[in-house]
Amino acid sequence: MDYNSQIFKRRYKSLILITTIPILSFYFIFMIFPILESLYYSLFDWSGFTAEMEFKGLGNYLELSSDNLFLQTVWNSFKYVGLGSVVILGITLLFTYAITNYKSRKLKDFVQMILFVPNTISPVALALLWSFVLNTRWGLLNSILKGLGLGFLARGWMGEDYIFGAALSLLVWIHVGFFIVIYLAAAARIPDSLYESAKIDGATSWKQFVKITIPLITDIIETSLVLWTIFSFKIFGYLYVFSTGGAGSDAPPAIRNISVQLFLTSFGKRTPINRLAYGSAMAIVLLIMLALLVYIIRKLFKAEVIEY
Amino acid sequence: MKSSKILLVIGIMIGIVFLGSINILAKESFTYWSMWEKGEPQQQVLEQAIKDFEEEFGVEVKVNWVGRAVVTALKPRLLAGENIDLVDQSGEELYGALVANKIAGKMNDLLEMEVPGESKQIKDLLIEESYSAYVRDDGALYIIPYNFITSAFWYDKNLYQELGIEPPTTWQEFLQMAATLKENGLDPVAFGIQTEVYRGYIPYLTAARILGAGALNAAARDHTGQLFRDPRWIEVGNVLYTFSKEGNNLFMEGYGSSVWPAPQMDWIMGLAGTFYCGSWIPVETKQAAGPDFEYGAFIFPAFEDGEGDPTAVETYPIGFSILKDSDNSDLAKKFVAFFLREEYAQAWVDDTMNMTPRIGIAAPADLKDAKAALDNANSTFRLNDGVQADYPEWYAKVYLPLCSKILLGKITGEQFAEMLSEQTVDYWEKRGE
Amino acid sequence: MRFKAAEIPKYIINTFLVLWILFTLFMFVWLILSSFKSTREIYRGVWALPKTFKFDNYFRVLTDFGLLRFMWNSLIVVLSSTLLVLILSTPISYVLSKLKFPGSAAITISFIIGIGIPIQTIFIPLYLMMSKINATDSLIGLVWLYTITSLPFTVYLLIGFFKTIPSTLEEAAMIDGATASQSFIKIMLPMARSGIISSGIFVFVMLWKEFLLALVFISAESKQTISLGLYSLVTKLTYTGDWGGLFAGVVLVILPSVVFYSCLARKFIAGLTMGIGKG
Repeated sequence: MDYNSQIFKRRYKSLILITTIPILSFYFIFMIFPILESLYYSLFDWSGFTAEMEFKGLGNYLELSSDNLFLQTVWNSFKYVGLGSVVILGITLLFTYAITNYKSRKLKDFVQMILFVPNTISPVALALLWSFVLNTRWGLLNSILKGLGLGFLARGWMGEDYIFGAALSLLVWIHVGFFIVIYLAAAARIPDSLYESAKIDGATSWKQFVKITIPLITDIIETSLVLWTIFSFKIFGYLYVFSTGGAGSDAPPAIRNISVQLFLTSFGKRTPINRLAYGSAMAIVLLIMLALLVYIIRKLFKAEVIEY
Repeated sequence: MKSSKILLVIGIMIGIVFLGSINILAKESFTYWSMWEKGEPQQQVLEQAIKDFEEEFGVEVKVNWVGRAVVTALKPRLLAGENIDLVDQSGEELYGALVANKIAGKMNDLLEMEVPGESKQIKDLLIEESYSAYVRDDGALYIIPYNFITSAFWYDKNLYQELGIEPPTTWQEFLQMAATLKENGLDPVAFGIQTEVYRGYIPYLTAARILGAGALNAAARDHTGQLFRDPRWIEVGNVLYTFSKEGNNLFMEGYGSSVWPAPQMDWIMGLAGTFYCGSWIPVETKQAAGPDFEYGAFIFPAFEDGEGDPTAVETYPIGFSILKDSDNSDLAKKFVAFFLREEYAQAWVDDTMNMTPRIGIAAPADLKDAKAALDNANSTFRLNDGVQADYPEWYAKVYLPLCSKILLGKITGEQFAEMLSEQTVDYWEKRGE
Repeated sequence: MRFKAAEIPKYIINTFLVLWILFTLFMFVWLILSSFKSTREIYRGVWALPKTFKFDNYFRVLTDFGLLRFMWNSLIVVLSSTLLVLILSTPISYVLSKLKFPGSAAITISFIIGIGIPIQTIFIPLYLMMSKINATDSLIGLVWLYTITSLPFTVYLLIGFFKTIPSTLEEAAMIDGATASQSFIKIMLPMARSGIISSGIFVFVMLWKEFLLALVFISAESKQTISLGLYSLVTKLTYTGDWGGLFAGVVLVILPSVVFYSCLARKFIAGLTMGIGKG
C-alpha cells in the first residue's frame, strides 16, 4: 500500500501510532535501554556488588582481545554456528524429505510431535540425561557400540577431546525437532501442481525434493540459519549445566559459548569471578558479532529468494 | 440483644487484630538469606532454631530459603539498596564474593559473645581450626561456621579388611595400596577430571604436603612467577604425573571423560578402591551403598622430604556472614550465637549427618575417621589453598587447565612447574597489575 | 512396494528417522522406568529394568517438596504472560507486515536484534528498574518480564503469519469503507487465528522451562516457578543421593508440558503450516 496516499494517511496513521508507540516504548525501556546501560558499564571496572565503579575506558575491550579463555568461547560460538547449522539443518532437511512422503496424516503429526518433545523439557533434566547416555563405562552409546561388536568405536565422549561434540549432539537432538516443524510447514505450502509434471517425468521422490522442494523453501532455510545463529550465541541453560555435576563445577571451557562465559565472568558460580563490567563488555561484543553474522546471512540469501 | 453481641464480638476481633498488628510493627527483625532449600534436613534444623529464637526473644526473622545460588541472587538486591543482614554459604564462596568485594562485616566480636542461655563464649565453644584459616592477615574474621566439612580419601572398611589393606599414611604406602587394589581388579582411585572440584583436590593437596599450606596461594599472587621456580614444584608435578595414565595409572578407567556422578557411582559400587571427596559423600552415597559398606577415611599421604604438616587437613566450613551495611546486625549476630547452642549443634549432627564445629559433640558414625583426622590435625588449610576464592580468574585460566594437562599425563612434572610460572607472569601482566 | 535402486536415499533416511524416533521414545520410557527404581538399583544398572516398582518415590516428592504449588505458580505466570504477549504483539506485527511506513523496516530489524539479546546481559539493569517500581519478587513482575522478553520472537513469528495473508481481502474491505481497526479485527485476526495460537503455544512451552529470570527475580519460596522447583529438587535430591526421587521429580515436572504439547500439537503444527516464514 502506498503510504503517501490520502486514504492511507486517514485510515492507518492512528492505527500505526496506537499499535507501535506503546509496545515500542516498552520494548525500548525494558530491552534496548538495558543494553545501552551494559555498554556504559563495560567502560568500567566493576564487580556489581556495590555502586563503586572505576572508569577504565576501553580497557575491558583491550583485555578481551588477549583473553585466551574468552577467545576460545568466541571460537566455540562460531563452531556451534557452523557445525550446528550444517548438522542440524542437514538432518532437518533429510527428515523433511522423509516425512513429506508419508501418506498418513496421523503418522506425520505423531513423528513431528515426538521430534519436538525434547524442546519442552527443562535443560537441567536433559543435561543429566545426556551424561548417562554418553558415560564412558556404562553409558548407553558405548554399551550399544560394544553390543554391536563395534567396541573399538567407543570413546570417552565427555573427555576434553569429544565433549564439544557431546554438547553439540544434545543441541542437535533438541533443535532438529524445533526446525523440522517449521520446515514441514513450509513444505506443505508448496502447491501439489508443481510436483505433477515431475511425477509424470518419472523423477524419484528424492529428485523431486532436491529440484523442487529445496529451492522453494530457501526463505525458510534462511530464516532457520538466522535463528540458529542467534541460538548458538545465546544458548545458555543446556551448556551451563552440561556435565557440571550439580554445583561441583563450572561448564568446561571446551563447550562454553560467549553467553555462558559472560555469565560465569559476571556472576561466578563456584569460582567467584564477579566482574560484571568485564562481562558486560563480552555482551556487547556478542551483540556486534551477532548483528554482523545475521547481516551477512541475509545478504548471501538476498539474491536467491524465489517467488512462486 | 443478638446484634449487640455480634457487634461486641466484631469489636473484640478488631481489637485483637489491631493489637496484633501493633505487636508485629513493634517487633524487631532481621533478614536472613539462606543457601538451603525448603525441605532439606539442614533447612529443617535451621527453621526450628529460628522458630525458637523468635519465641524466646519476641522478634521476627525474615528468612528466605534461596538455595545454593544465594550469592548470585544477592547481587542485584544489594545494588538496589535492599537490606539483607545475614547470609550463609561455604567460607570459600563468602570470601570470594562478599569479603573480596568488601561488603562483609567483621565478626571477630562474635567470638567474645556468649551463646544465649549458655554462659560460655563462642571462642571457647568452637574448634579453632574450623575458622582459623579464614582469619585475615589483619586479624579480621568474616565467617562464623556452623557446619564443618573436610575432605579425605574415602574407602570401604570391610573391603579393605577383606583385601588386607591398611589405610596408608605415606606416599610409599599409598602406592603399595594402589598396587594391591590393582591386583584385585579394582581401580585405585575413583576420579573424574571434568568435575572441577575433583580436579583441584589432588594437585593442591600434593603441594600442601610438599611445600606446605599457603605455598600455592602465595605463588599464585607472585607476579614475577619466581615462587613457581622453586624445584619442589617439579616434585609436585612428578607426583601428579604418577597419578596419570602415563605414570602409574592410579585413577579409574576413563577418568579423563568421567563426569559427575559417575566417579562416586563407580566407587560406591565397588569398581574403585578409594574416592577423594568432601565429607558430604557418605550422605550422598548412603542410599546406594550396599549393606556391608562401612565408610572409612584417611587423609592425603605424606611425602618423605615434604615440608608441609603431614597431619594438616582441609577445612571447608559452611557458616554465617553478616553484611557490612546490615541495619540489624546486632540481632543477626545474636541469632548466629543462638544457633551454636548445643541442642542445634546436636540436631545438626543427628539430622543432617554432618559435623559441627562445636567442641565436644561426636561426629555421625560415617564421619568418625574424618573427625578423628581433624582432631589429630596440627594445622589446617583452605580448599584449593584458597586460590579459587582469592584469585578466581587465575584459578580458572591458569591452574585448572594445567592440572588437567598433568593429570592426563600430557605434560611432565618439569613442564608443569615451568608452565605454572610462565602463565602466572603472563596472567598478571594481562590483568595490568 | 518393490525395491527400487533409485529410492535408496529414501530408505537410508527413513531408517535413520526411525532410529531417531525410537531413541527419543526410549529415553522417555527409560526416564519413567527409572523413576520407579530405588537409588541402589539405579546405581547397579542404569539401563536395567526395575525389579520392583517403588511408587513411594512419587509420594515422597509430591509431599515433601511442594511441587504442586510451583506448578500452580508457573501455570498462572506462564498463561498470563502468553496471553499478554499475544495481545501486545499481534497488532504491531500486523502493522509491520502489511503497512510500509517510514521506520517500519528499522522497527522490524530492532525486533530481530532483540531476539539475540542474552537475558543475562540485561538482568542487572532490569532488576534495578523493577525494584524501583517495586515489582521484584512478585509474580506480576515476572509476568511483565516474560512478556517483554518474549516479544521480539513472537513479533518475528507473527509478521511471518500476517505476510501470508493476501492483502486483497483487506483492500476490498477498505473500499467498502471499513476503518483500519475494523478490517484488522474482522478480517485479519480470524485469518491469522491459527498462527496466533501456534505462537501462543510456542511462547508457553518456552516460558514453562524458563529458569534464569525466575532465579534472579523470585526468591520467596511461595512464589517459585516449576523450573526453579526442579532446580532445587535436583539440588536437594543429589545432595542426599536420592536418585529414585530425583527421576520421579523430573517426570512430574516434564509431564505437564509434554502432555500439554501433545494435546495441542495438531493445532500448533496446523498453525505453523499456514503461516511460517514469509519473513
